Amino acid sequence: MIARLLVANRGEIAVRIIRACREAGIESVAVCSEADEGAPHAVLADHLVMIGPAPAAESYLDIGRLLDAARATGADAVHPGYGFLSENPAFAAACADAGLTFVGPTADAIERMGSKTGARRIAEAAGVPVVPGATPADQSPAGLRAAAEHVGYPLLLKASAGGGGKGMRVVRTAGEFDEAAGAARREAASAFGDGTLYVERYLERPRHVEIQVLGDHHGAVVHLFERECSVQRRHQKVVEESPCLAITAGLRARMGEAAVRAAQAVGYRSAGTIEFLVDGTGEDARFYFLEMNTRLQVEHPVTEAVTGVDLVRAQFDIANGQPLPWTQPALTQRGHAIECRIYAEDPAQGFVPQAGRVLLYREPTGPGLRIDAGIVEGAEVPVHYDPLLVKLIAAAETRTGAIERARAALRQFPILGVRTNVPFLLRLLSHPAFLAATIDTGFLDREAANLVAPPAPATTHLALAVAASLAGAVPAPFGPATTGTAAVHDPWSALGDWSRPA
Amino acid sequence: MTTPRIVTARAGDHAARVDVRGDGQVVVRPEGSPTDLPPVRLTYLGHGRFRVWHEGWTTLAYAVEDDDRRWVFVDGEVVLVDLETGGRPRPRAARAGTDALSAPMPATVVRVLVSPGQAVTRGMPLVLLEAMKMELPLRAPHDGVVESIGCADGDLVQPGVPLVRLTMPAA
Repeated sequence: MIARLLVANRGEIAVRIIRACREAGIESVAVCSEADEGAPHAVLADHLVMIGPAPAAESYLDIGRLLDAARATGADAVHPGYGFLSENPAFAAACADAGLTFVGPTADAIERMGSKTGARRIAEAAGVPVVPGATPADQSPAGLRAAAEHVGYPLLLKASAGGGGKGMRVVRTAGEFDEAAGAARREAASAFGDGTLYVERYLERPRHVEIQVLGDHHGAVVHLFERECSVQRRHQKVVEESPCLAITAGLRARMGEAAVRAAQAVGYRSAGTIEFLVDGTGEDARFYFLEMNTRLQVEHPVTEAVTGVDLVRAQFDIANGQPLPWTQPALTQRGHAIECRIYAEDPAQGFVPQAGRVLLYREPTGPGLRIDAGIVEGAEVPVHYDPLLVKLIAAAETRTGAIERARAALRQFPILGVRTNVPFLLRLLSHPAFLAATIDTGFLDREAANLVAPPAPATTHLALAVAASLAGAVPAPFGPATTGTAAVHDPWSALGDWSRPA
Repeated sequence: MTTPRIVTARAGDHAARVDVRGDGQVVVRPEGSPTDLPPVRLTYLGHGRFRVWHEGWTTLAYAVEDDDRRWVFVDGEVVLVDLETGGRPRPRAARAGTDALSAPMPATVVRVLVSPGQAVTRGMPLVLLEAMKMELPLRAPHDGVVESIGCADGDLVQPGVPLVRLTMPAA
């Protein structure tokens, strides 16, 4: 049984795991870099080890220092969280070698699912659909056309040898094929010195829908339904929800079964996620294996909200060798949950990550609301790590109810001192396409610019009134002292342009 | 209760004259506008929190100081506001006497670039500071002669502490 667990992470996920430890009667050991001594996870844990300087490579990513910390504190288990070393098979193996229980899958499962092509082969062998595609052995026009007929239209021609869009062509009908193939081959040959083409089905506007799974040490695997994660900006998820309105009960069941088969193919245990692309809606929708994330996900609270399962607690129980307490039919999905990721970033400046001190931070509260935060008022947001600050999860009986709840909460969630995407999220949650749930993975990249806007003039004027009313260091009514011989000059007016040291 | 004052407040492209009255009424007149906006009534609730009463509608707002700026949160929006003294411009014209220049924030002195007695011209860098991994030159606000230096290379300096005293040209 795990008695003392080292959390090899920081931020909101470390806080989440430490809380689960406390509930389970497990002592928690936090690790922190020199930049994080006052961070919530470091403050909250029962024990704390400072593992190195601020850069992650010298602290949170240093396997040797983490194992030393575990040894020094007498920890018997390690939870990697997400990111950092969570999907590093060498870390899982090093923990096992050091006699520590790794709260996660085996190093072997991490490694086998870590390779994109390897994972695709495993999925295919397990009867899980993958995006149809092939590199035809016969690269003649006739051979390519035959492969195209097999894959189906619309399709994508890609250079087998490389990426970056070179030699890539979308072909919508058979009539366009020969000309597109000729152009793609010439581009591929000049870019990579190899004109070999790969033919793949083109998914016009796919959704990203993933299935949560849990496996135990006894070969049992269950799924905990789906999460709709199509709202992404440059492949970074922003809003996730469950259930996904675009899939039918039949498709949900088939995706769940496929996810369980993929997990079983690698002897998966602990919490994991199978990501799929879904093409189309309703009964005609098809799904294709994308990849497996062999860890707890950022968006796991969405699943917790609709299934009632505590995924971190389940990971502890699984790591302790206990069998899963449910069979598949015992698991149900109820209501609707939506997660908003609050990032330290400035949408008005191209979403550049922000750092600085959180001068004011007040969490909203209320029924159906969960806030997983990695910051507190007064905390410093360091420049060294992921800009995810807080997750706001709203749950209600219906999707509309959950969205309304999230919007109301964001309108009363002041975070000042560091720019965040809260105003952006509020606009996103009111976008007609989002409200209609007619979204795909390209939605946010197409619409992001329209969701970045300055506040309405009326709001700005109100803010000016509030700013002027805040007591404190208002400049003296008549400016700095003008008499005497030692006036202190306003330093800002003497400053030149900021520049980086040479 | 807030102290009555009149200030100019700016946020992005918006600027306004803000009249904070003693009774909690705040009157905003946008720059270039001949008329005031309908008054807002603000009650300070403590810890950066305000109750806002505005044309029969009410909400909460939050505000906090950040050096010479204020962050305001109202109705899901964040506004960063600069305040200037109202009424008359802040006197920045050259004055007779000496002028003391200090760092705007805790900083490290990378290099002192001038020495006492040296004549300097407006805009000339006097001291090179480093803060937040950025270098910034402290420049002469006007022509003058360096009277004294209050720091040395490598010093960690605090805001408000004079680093260079510059004689001011006679008016």
